[in-house]
Amino acid sequence: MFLKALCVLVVCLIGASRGNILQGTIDTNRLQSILQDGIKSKDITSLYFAIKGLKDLKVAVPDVCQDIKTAKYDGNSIEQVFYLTNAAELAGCQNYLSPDVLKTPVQVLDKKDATIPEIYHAVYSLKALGKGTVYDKEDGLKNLIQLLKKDDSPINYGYVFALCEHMGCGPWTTTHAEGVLQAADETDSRALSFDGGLPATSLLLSTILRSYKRQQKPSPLTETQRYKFAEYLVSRRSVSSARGAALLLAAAAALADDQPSPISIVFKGKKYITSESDSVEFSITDLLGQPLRNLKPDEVVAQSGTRLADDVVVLSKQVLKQKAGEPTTFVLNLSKIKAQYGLYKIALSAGSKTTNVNVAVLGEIQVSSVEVGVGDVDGTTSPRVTTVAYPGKLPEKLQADHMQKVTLKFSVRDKYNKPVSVAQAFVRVGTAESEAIFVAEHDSSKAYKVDLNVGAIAKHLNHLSGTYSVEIYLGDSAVSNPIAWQLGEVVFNFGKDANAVGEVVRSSSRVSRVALPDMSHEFRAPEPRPPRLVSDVFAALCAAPLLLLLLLWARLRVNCGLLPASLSALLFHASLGASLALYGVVWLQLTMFSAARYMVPLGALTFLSGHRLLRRLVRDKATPR
Amino acid sequence: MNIYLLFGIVLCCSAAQAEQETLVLVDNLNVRETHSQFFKSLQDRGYTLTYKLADDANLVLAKYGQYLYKNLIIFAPSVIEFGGQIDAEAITKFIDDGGNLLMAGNSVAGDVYREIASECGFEMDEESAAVIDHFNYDANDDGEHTRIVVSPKNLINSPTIVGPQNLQPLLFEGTGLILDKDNNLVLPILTADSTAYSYNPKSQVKEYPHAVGRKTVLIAALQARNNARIVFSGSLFFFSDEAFNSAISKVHGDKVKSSKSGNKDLAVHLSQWAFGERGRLRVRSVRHHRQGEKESTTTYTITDTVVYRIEIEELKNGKWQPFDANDVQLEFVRIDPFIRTTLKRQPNGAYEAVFKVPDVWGVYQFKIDYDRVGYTRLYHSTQVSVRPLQHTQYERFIPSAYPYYVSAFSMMVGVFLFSFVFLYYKEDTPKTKSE
Repeated sequence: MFLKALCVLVVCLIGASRGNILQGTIDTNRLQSILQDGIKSKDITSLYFAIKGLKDLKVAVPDVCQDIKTAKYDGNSIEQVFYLTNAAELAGCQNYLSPDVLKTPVQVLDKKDATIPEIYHAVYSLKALGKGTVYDKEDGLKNLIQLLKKDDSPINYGYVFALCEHMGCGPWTTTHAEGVLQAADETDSRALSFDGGLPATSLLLSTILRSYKRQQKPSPLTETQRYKFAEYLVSRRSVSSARGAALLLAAAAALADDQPSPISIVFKGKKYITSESDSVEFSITDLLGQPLRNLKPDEVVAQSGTRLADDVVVLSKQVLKQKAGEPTTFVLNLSKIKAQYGLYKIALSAGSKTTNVNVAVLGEIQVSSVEVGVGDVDGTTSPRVTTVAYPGKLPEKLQADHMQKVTLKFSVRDKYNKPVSVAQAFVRVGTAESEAIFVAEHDSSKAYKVDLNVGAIAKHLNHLSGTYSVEIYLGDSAVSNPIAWQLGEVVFNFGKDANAVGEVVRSSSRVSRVALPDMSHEFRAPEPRPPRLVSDVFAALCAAPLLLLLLLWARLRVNCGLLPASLSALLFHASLGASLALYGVVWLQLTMFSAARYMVPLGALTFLSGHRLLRRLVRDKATPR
Repeated sequence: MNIYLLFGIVLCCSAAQAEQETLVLVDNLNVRETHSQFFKSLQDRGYTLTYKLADDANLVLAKYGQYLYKNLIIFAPSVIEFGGQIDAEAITKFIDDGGNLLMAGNSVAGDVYREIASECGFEMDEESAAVIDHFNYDANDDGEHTRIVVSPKNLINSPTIVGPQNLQPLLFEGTGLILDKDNNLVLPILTADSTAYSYNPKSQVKEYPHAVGRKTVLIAALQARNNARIVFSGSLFFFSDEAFNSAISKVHGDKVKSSKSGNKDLAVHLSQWAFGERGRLRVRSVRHHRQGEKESTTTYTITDTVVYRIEIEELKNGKWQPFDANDVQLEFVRIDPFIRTTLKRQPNGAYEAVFKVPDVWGVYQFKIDYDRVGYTRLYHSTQVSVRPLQHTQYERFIPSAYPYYVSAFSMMVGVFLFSFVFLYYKEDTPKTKSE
C-alpha cells in the first residue's frame, strides 16, 4: 500500500514537471464514416460495434433489422451471440431474433468452469433479451472474485466491473478501481494503456468512470493519468475497423466527460506566419474536439515567446482572441515579430495548463545577382567575371579547364534588403545522371562564396569532361520562398585526368547486373583447295607409272612359268589380294580398329601360306627336273 | 512405416510454417498499434508475428542451433542495446544464415542501429540528423521541413522490389543513409531529390553534410550473396498508420496534392520482397543434347550442334510458376566464355539455345548466371568435355587428295602383280650349246 502511494507520488511528480497537454484530438467525423461503412457489413461483430458507435455519437442508425436477421453467426460462440443480441437490442429489433439464441447463454451460466468473459457475454446477452435477473448479486460476486484470483488480467477486471453495473455492486468497483488503474502500462512515460490494448483500456475506462459517476463519487483518475490515457487514445486515432472506432469512441467519450477533461491544443491550419498573414489559429478543445466547458476565453494566454536561435524574449502575457462564431478557435496575433524570421517557441496556457508550441516566422528572401568568375587557380591573372541577375541565365556557356577555378559570389537578402544567412546555400553542378553539390560559405558580411576548383572537383564528377548545368539552392526552415535558380551551363575540361567522353571506367570488381553482349566463336576457316581439274590431272599422272610398268612388262614378255599348281599358292595370292583390298575397304568405310580385326586372320593366313609357297619354290629349284 | 510418413509430413508442415515466423522488435508495444496497418498486411499474408520489446532480457533468435524465426523486423530506433542474446553480431549471423531483415530507424536511432547498418553496407547519418528538404516538404510538417514528400520517380527501377505501379507521392521523415558506391549488392530503393540534405535541423549547416542531394538514400536494400534480404529505412514513420492514411500536399514547387500517400503500397511491396514473396527464382530442370538426339551426354565433339534447355521458375503468389524474361543468357565457358547467347523462350515455358560447339577442345561448362536487380541470383553450371574429331570423323573423299589415293592404290596393284612376276618368272634358259 505504501509502495502504491509512493508510485502515485512519483507519477504525479513526473506529470507536474512535464506539464503536458494533448497535441491532437480524435476526429469524430472520421470515426463516424468508418462506423457508417461498418454498418453495411454482413459480419455480426462489425455490425454490433458500428451500431454501438453510432449510438454513442447520437447519430441516427438506419434500419438494420433485416441485416441482423440474416447476419451469419456461430450459435455456439457466446461472444457472437452477445454481439447478435446486443446489436438487436441497440437497433430495437429483438423480435427478429429466433428463440434459439437463448440456449447458449443459459448453457454458459450453468457451466461450472465458465470464464469471466463468457459470464459477461452470457449475462449481457440475456439482459439484451429482457431476461435480466439471471445473475444475483451475492453469490455472483463471490464467484467472480474466485475467478479473478485465477486470472487477474486487466480485461477480466473490466468485465467484472461491467457485471457489477448489472448486479448493482458498484461499491465493490470503486474500492478496486484504483488498484487496477495503478496496473496500467506506461509507454515512454507519456501514455498509459492496459495490457490488452484498446479493448481492455476502453472497457475499463468506460466502466470505472460510469460506476463512479453513478455513485456520485469524484473521479478516481489523477490529472496525470487522465492526460496519459488521453495521450494513448490520441495515438490510436488512426484505427480503421468499426470495432476499433467504437471502442476508441467509448473510451474517449468517457474520458472527455470526466471533468476536468484533458485539454488539447493544436494548430488550426498553418503553423507559421508571414508578413502577409501575421496571426496563427489554435483550436483548444477536449479529447473529442468539443469546446471545453469550464474554460473562459480570457484564460487562453500566450505566456511568453522566445526566439530559438538566440533565446530573446519577444512577447509576454498576450491574451488570445476567441474567433467569433467558433468557440474552439483562438487567434494569436504575432505582428510584432513578423519582421524577424526564425523559429519561435511560445508558451501557451489554457486555464492552468501550459504547453510549448513552435511557430515559424517565415520571411521572403531574395537574391539580386550572382557574380560568376573564371580565373586561374594560382591567381596570377585576374578572373573574368560575368554578372547574372536573378532569375536570368548565363549568356553563354562558360569554359573552364583543370588549371582554372570557377567562383560564384552572391548575397541573400530579406524583404527589407538586409543581408541574411540561410541554412541551405548549395550549388549543384551536374547532369541528369550525376551531380555534385557544394556548400556556399558566407563571410562576416554574409556574402556567400563558392570556389569550384575544376581540377579538384573532377573526382566528384567521374572525371568526365563535358557540359554541366549549375544551379543555386537557397532554403531555410524559416523561408517562405525557397529559391532554386538555374544559372546556366559550364563546360569543364578535366585535362589529362579526364576519361574519354561517354565512357565511365568502372572498377573491375563491379558485377554487371544487366544482360551482357552476346558472344560467338569464330571457327577456323578451312584451308584453300586446288581446283578439281588440277587434282584429276595429277591423279592421272600418279596412275601413269603402273601403266608404264605393265607396258614394259609386256615388252619384256614377262611370264609366270614357275607358277606351281598348289593350294598354298592360291591361298597366298588370295590372302595377299584380300589384305590389299581391305585397305581399299578401309578407305571407303571401315575404321582402323575393325580393319585390324580383319587383318589379323588375313595376315596369319598370308604368312603361313606364303611360307609354304616359298619352301615349295626353293625345293623345286633345288631339285631341277 | 506409417509413423515415419507422419513424421515426415509434420516436418514438412513445420518447415513451411517456419518460413512465415517473424520476430518484431519494438521500442514499446504501442508501435504495434501505431503501425497496425502494416502489421495487419503481414498477418493477412500468413506471417506469424511475435512482438517483443527490443530490450527484453529473454530475446533469442536461435535455439539449439535452429533459428526460431525466418524474418526479423526491427522497429525500435530508441533502443540503446538489445536484450537477451541479440546484438549486432547475432543479427549479422542471422543474415549470414539466410534470415531476412526489415529495419526502420529515425533521427534518434542509436549506435546499435549504425552498427547493424554498416554491417549491411549502409551508413546511417549521425545521431539527430534528419533529411531536410526546404523545397519538397509536406503541409503537415512541424516547421523543420523534415516531413518530406518524395516523388515516386525517385524509386529504383525494379518492379520486383517496389511493385509495378507507384504513382502516389511518398511521405518520409527520418534520417538519411549513405551507400558505398563500390558495393554492388546494396540497392538505393528510394533517394531524395537534389534539393535535400541530411543534417541536424536545429543547427546551421557548418560542415559539409554527410548526405546531400540524390546521394541521400532514404530506403536502401541489400541482397546478400546467400540471397538473404535486408531492407533498411531511415524512417520508422514511413511505415506508420499515420503516414499510410495522410493526405499529401506539397507546399512549394509543383504543389503536388494527393488524397492518400503511396506509403502503404510501397511498404507492402517492400515487405513482400524482403521476406521473399517475390523475386525468387529457381531452376527446375536442365537438359542438353546433340541436335537430333534424345539422350543427354557429357561428351561433345567439336563443331557439334548442341541444344541446351533450362526451365526456370519464379515464386508468384506462393506458387512456383514459369519465369518470363527475355534476357536469360547462356555461356559456354572454358576458363573464358567462348559463346554467350540469349536463350529463346519456348511456348512450353522452357528456355532454349541451339549453338555449335567451338572447334577448340577441352573441358567446358554450360553456365547460367542470371543476376538481376530484385531477383535472387540464379546460378547453374554443368560440366561437359569437348573432344577433337575421331579418326573416322574426318572427311574421307577429298577431291584434292585423289593423286594420293591413286598413287597408294596403284602401288598396291603393282605390288600384287609384282609378287607374281617376282616369284614365278621363268627365265628363258639360254639354249645350251648342245642344243
